[in-house]
Amino acid sequence: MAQSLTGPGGRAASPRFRPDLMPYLFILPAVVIYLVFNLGPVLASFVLSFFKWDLLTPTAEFNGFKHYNFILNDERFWGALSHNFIFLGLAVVIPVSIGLLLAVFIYEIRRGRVFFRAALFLPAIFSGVVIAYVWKWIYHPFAGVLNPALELVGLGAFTQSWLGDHKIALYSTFIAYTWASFGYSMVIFLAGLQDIPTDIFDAARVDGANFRQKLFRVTIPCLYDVFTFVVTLRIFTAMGVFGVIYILTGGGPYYSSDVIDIYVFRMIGNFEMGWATAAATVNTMIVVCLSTGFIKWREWRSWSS
Amino acid sequence: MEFVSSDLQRRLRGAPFYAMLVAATVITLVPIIWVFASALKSNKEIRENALALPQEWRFQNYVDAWFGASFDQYFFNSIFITVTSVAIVLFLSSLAAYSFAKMRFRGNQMIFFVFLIGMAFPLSAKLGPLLSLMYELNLANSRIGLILVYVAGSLPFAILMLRAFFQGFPQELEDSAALDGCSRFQFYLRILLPLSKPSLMALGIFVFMGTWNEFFQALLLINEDAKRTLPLGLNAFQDEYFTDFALSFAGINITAVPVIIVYIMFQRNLIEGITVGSVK
Amino acid sequence: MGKNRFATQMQRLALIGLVALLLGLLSLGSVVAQEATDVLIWSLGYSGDYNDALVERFNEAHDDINIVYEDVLTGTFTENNQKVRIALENEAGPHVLGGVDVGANLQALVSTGQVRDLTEYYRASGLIDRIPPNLLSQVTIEGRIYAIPQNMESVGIFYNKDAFAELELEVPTSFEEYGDLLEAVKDAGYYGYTMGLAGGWPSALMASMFMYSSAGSEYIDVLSGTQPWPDCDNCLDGLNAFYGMVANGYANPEPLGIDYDQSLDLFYQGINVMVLNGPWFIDASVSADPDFEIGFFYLPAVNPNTDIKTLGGIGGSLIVAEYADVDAAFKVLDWLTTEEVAVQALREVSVLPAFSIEVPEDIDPLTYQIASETAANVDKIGFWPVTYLPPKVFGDMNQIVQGMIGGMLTPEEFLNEMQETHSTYLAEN
Repeated sequence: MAQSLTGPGGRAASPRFRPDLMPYLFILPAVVIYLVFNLGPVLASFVLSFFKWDLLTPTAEFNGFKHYNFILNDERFWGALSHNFIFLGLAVVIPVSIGLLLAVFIYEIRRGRVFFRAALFLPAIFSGVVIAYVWKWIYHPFAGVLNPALELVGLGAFTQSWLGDHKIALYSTFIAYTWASFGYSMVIFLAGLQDIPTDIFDAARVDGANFRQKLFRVTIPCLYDVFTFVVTLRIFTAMGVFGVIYILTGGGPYYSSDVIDIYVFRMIGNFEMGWATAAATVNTMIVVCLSTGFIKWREWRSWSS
Repeated sequence: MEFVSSDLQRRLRGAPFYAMLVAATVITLVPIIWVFASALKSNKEIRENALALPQEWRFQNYVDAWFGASFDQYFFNSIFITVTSVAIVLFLSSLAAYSFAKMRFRGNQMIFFVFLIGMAFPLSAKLGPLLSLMYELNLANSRIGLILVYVAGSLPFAILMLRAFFQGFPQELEDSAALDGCSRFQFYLRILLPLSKPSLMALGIFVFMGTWNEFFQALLLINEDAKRTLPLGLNAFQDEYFTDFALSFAGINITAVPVIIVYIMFQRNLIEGITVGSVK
Repeated sequence: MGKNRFATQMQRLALIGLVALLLGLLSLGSVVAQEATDVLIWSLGYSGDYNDALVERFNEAHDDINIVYEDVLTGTFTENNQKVRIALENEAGPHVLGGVDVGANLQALVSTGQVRDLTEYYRASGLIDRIPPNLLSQVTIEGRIYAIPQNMESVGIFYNKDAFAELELEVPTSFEEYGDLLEAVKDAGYYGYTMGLAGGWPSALMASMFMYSSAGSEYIDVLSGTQPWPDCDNCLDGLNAFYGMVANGYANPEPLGIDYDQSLDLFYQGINVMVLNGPWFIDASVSADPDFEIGFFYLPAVNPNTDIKTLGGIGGSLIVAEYADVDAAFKVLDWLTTEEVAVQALREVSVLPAFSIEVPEDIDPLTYQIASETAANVDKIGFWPVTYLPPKVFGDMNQIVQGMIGGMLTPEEFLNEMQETHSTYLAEN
């Protein structure tokens, strides 16, 4: 391989300025795989959402905005999307705050930092499937552990049909999601905290700042960029939540925990490719706008302040 | 004297933090411990008292799940797909990142940007055409097909991360290597890669975890029992055995234990891989 | 230091990788090892062990044809249908395919032109005289026959005989009596109707059974889109009867919190004393090994004036792919439809074959009872109605039934929402 890549002239005196094929050869395999199996399908999804699909084979028949017309008039699409937004709203607050607090606690202690970080991050390493099944058992109405545990500690009034009640099913899945995701925010915040020069904290302590003052006046402002990263990550995971909900409720009961990715998956499973690609395209636009909009807004704020 | 008192003071100040952390750790770990304990119980014990610890340890549940429910096959598939994907991602992304970071060529910025936008799309954006493409190429229901999809999915992040890392390498290193008669591929192989081991390690573990755990694309592209990965196998297994409570818990554990082992051994690398994006 | 650390980690990684690969290879060795193929068969619905034994016997008896059986249809209802459609479309699938659903699913497969017309084969093999006409009509599309029904199922109530004896309950003969029975079971502190509606399929199926057993063939018109859902008063009666299982407290709690398989556990535990299920339940209950005896009766029709005795029909049928080698595939069909194999299926899988055989008396009594009753009532057994719905509408119906059971929709609203969903779909396609 090295032979063929270097070839005659590969050892030129100033390789940096000589126009040659080497840089292209280096990126070629990555580009090909990436284009064929990642970006290509994304673009194809956009284009093909305007065409009539026959089973899995797109036909040449242009369909205009017919698929979009259906999707945008489908209350179940909007229902699924609104659940994603509920998820997003909760996800940027709850796992992020838990992660921040735990990171600060770990930062404040001397011994056992590694242990606590490792233990608290543990749920975050699991597949969504494992997380979902752990919680499916916790919530199980007859063999589950949550309702008996609540009764044991005298909170019998809070026992629920966790996954069978349309009013709370979505929130039950969110609890499982939170359990598995606060660890991400935590380790990222912790890394951010360790990058802040310690004399800032020392100065705050000398000034007699208490824990809360320190948190809101020093820690959080110092973690500005880290927040942007953590929240952007949440935007992607909350808008793309699939496995946990798919297994816990399948989007039910009566669509009460349906989200976009399950909606799209269901469409694909039923060979409604036109609707699936149209729904996926709308979702993609929303996610791209949300994430880039958020990042731009953060940049603008950090410049203007 | 003063040292002691200030040390004591500091410890006292830390006490509430420890208390909170211990509480959080207990809440976090209890579900995991409960699942492990339940996997050692009999069905009867689980039904009668979900909260109790096992009376005697029934390892038979694991044996039944492993041999009776093809978890051996799922395990092999997961190992094969994940290890191959990680190896390919590391090789291709480091090669490309080296080119992007250290070589000048027409379109460098633009092509790199094309890779970057791949990170902006949600997974569902590509699924419909991807499914039909995989059938066209006869790669659906195939481990190779899944590997290609996983590699393609991991490349943008991998290239972004390694490019940033390679950019930090002094140019003199490459220049002097060139003077010594070292080709760029040799430089990449003999100097760049060995010097980047910590980064490659972090990236590798990160990609390993993501690939090992992936469910959505596998669910769509694989529907043959013999090709299933562990998450898919667990999902199918639950459909079949959900009434066998104990076996079900054992199945969850078999899927979870490999990642726990890798996590315990490579915790630092994994967290480095996760945090690298936040701290430039 | 960094280098050392890396080296140790690499060693560890290599060690894990090696151990894992060894484990994997060991397991792979036992699973792979397949030989050259002549006729590739996929099937869904039966136990793999049983099929393996069948294939082995066929291959021993035939030198010219080698059956390769792949147990690949192991996913959910939707996944399997998806896989079959794609495989046939891409000519990458089996030559002979078993367990295919009739109705809209068969029509979809036939419409792509990938399923062989078996009309001539039926005539030549004499099969046409061995299959009851009403089953034959289910696999006939525009005058041509495309599939061979493999088995004949009927659905009924399996009950806890010990509990019935203890409570002095009797098997009901009408829907009114069934209602009284449920009331008595409830008064005794048990549940009479087992319901687990979480998950993909059971909701639409269960609600359909009640609507069909009240509206009869009118319900088929509704499902095929020729009659609007809200106009079917008999459907509403059936739906109310189904809804009554929950509303009157006959069904177990948490019907939406558990899926169908989990709900069966309540029956095995003796909490629920009846469960609506098909003949395959006999095998499932044998392996679950409950400590009581199980009896069976047909669920009386909601409306006694319908021509339907109970629900059931073709559990699955055989089709031949257009790209298959005709001679070889037909030889396999000959074999699969022999009386010997059929009796064996009844014996081992508790499924009554769809073509005429004498029900042997030396089989398990419960299997014998169900098989004989099914055989005696062939012309009064309705068909799995949901296979007439397009998959998308079927999926939606599952969720909408959940909405009704969860109290979000009244039965009337259920019918209106089904109408909207169904008609929108038909208008778009």
